[in-house]
Amino acid sequence: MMESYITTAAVLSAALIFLLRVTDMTLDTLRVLFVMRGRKIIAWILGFFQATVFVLAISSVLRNLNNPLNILGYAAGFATGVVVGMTIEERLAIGHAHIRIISTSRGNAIAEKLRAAGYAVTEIPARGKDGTVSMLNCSVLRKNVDRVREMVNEVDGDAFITTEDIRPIRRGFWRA
Amino acid sequence: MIDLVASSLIIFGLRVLDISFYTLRIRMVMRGRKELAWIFGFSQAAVYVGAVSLVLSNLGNPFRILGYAAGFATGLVVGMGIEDRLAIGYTHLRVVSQHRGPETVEGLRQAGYGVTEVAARGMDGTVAILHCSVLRKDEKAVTDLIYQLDPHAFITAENVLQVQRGFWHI
Repeated sequence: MMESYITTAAVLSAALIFLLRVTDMTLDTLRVLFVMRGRKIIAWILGFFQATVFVLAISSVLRNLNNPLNILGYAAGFATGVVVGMTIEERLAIGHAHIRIISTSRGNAIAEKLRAAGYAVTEIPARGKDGTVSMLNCSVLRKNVDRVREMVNEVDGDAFITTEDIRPIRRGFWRA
Repeated sequence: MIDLVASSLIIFGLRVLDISFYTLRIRMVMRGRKELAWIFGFSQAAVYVGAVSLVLSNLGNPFRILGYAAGFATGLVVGMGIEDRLAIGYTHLRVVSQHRGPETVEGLRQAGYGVTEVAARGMDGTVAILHCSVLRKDEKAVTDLIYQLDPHAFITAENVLQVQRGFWHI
């Protein structure tokens, strides 16, 4: 009987469970992503707060998971927290990325344009199916990836662009 | 006794299910796939609160604890296996070939893959570096083909996050 579940109190408790789980899983997802990037200090802080939220709030809620509405709130909050965490991490865009650009004829023009804007580019002559191409390697801060991509597109709309996560080892030229 | 075996097996099965979803979720988070991360996260949490948490209070027996831990570990492996089969996303292969660069390029292009060749120098002279971006589900087929063309090729693979244009073997 669905009606008996949907009272104001039941909806409120499900909503509370949802929100707590969103908070906790947002922190959890951020932590996992920072662990992947080797950021120990941020990972510690996030882990600490996630565990605190979990112990103080979620564990008491777990005992009340006896109706479908609460279970739905729990699972939806869990899943939504994951997506919220991913979105926040994308916005923060902490770290570095490596952009590889392959251009059949406008390699030099792309390199010039990127350099004029202050990005470091390494050009390599290479061969593709139909002859000589240029391969440009460009390591940038993650938050600049979209800007670099737009600049490349302005010069050569047919350039082939791939992006990878990297960990900087040392030196090199980074546009701050 | 039969009760004990049955309950241990149930705990094992439930844990395999929820940890498989867990592993799939983490992999999707790593690849930036939000929709799939939501779906796997929802499934994981639903299985957990709907089933796993109910049996957690009955763990007071070594046999059930074994089922729980074995289920957890098996779930990780099952999730990784499923994710490998799904093979969502792209891979960038970097191949270093000492003597058979041109033949390897030729073979890959004939098979329909896009390759960019770079001349480079190794310890014993000129080598070819081949860059080849492929769908992850083709990774195995491409590496097998490369090893056929050049048994001594050195191949590394990287996870590609974002892709624009280019030539993809479909």
